[in-house]
Amino acid sequence: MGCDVRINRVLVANRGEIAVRIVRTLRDLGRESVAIYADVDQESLHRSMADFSVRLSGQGVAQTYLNIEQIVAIAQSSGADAVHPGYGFLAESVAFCRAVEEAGLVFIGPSAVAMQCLGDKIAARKLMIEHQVAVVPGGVKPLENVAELAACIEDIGLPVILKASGGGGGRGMRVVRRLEDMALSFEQCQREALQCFGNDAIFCERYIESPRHIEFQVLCDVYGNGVHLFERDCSIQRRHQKLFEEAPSVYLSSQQRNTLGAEAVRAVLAAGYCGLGTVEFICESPDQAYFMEVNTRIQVEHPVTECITGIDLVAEQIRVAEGKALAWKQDEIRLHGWSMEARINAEDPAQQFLPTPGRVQRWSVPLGPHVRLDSHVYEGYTIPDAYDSMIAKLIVWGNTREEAIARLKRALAELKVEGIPTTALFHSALLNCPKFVAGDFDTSYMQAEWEWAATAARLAPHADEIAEISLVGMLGEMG
Amino acid sequence: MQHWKIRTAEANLVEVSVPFKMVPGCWVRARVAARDVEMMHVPALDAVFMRDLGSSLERCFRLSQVQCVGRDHPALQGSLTLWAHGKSLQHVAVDYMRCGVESLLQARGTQQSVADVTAPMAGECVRLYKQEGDVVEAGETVLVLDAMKMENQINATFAGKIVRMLCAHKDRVTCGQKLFRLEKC
Repeated sequence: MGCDVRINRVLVANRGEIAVRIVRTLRDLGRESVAIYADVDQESLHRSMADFSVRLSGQGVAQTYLNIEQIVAIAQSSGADAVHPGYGFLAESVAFCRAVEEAGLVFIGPSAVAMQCLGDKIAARKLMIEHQVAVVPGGVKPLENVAELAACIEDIGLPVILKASGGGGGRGMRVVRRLEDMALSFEQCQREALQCFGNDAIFCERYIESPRHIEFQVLCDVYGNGVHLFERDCSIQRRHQKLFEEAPSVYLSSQQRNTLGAEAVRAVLAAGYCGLGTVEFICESPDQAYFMEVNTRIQVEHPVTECITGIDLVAEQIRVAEGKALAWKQDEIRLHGWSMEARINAEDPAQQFLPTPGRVQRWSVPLGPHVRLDSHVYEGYTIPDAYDSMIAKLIVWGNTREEAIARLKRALAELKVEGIPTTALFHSALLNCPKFVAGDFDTSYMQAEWEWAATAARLAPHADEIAEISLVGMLGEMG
Repeated sequence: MQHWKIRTAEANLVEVSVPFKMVPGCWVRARVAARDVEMMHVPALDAVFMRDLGSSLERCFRLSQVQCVGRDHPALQGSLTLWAHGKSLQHVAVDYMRCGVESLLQARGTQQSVADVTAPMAGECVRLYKQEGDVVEAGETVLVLDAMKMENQINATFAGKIVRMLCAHKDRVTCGQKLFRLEKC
């Protein structure tokens, strides 16, 4: 990452809503954008939003959006001076980051060195321990054999979780609850790690049942300054996939927020980090938060942070990548109000969240005060089956959590999608659930409360009011 | 080789009449003045993409007034307006098309002797400055259309004589309707 360069033209190495979102900020800043698109994305919105677009040759994700050689070549030939990876695809690929740097272009993200250091879970754990950041009790080196695992279990007790050092995205993990399962789990986890991530290093840590997932947004410049932009609560998940996020979290007091935020900044600065990042913690209780990992990219749920701080995070990524110093000190950043994000996925909540690619026949989006919709969908767009099911993010802001909930309910009711089922109905049900409203939930919430959500989804054909009344009655019965 | 005619060029607006059919989703080869380009119409995005022949770098142009011929074959034909969104692309449109506009404006003198000037939007004809038989300069205002409480001057696209006036005072016209016929003298 060079110092004081001016970025004029950015290749956006992504598709879908995040590509559209990045292009928007680039235009706001008066910078040019280059979109790339695979053949299936010929009618994709990001192609027409960008100043330029270039077709990716080849079929399938590996030959297109994951094709480092092709993307770097396009970046060079299109006259781009920087590459923004978005999230997913190559966003956390050290090889991609290095290839972009070697091509003489600016990678809008951390350096390859920092990315590698934080991408390796064992190395990151070691680094955090050295810098007095709390990690989940467990090992700090790869487990060589079952005997070492047994020793580790003796130390920290059951249950434990085995994790691939190079893993991520909720894969390459295995929970061990009984000693007799230990040997088999060890072998399976090691094999899976090798297959999925090309690295059989695994380690073990105490398994925390039903934790709260809290993450801090951090931002660092090249001069070693770092700030946090408060937390996001991402505990509403289904099979390790986030469905709903909010900022701030009801779980943390202002003091805990400051303590944990400072810890998050210390964690990334320890790795010589520069750019935007997210430090994930799992919390057993508000006072017992453990470092999990750093996501070295912009996150799907970044808009909630933008709403409570008033800061355009993509614009800050570009600023920092140009070698500019942070515009503020920690105490100049204010947390203002409450923000929530509902992920609208092409999935049917009534059928176990079955993916539902297809043509969007009607697309009428909510508007009004403090409502934001990040999406690449338009009426008549056919959602391809080759990519992620997320088609939109509905984000609202309110002065208080109650106001945000009311506003999100209102916005969800205004959203009209025809042609494909979406998760919108799930969110309407969630916002009516007393436990959610009370802030009483953790990562096991979806599993525990699943039945009511499925029932709610079955009410879809009925009028909104009827569905709501029945749902409220039903939830009352459930206590 | 297919040819384009560029009818008018304003600071941020380029009107192009495409005398060929563009099949959606297919690259079509075209020639703009001395420049070989390829164009693709993507109806779903309401956009036309254009690139120099041999280059992979595409520019996006937003589309309006798309006239489709045939119900079962939504090929694009006739007159369309291309413009680019945002400030940067407005310049892009002009830069990209400038060479074509200039040379074609010169060429028009020999090529085009009669043309019908059409209404760029639906509206009401509120003023007629000229009448049949009048001789006008290029760019001279012939009539005014009122649309959405705004007055829009309709100008002569080249110097010539108004051989037929096709609308009258207080007439309501639809978008694309012929307003007057201009003949080069």
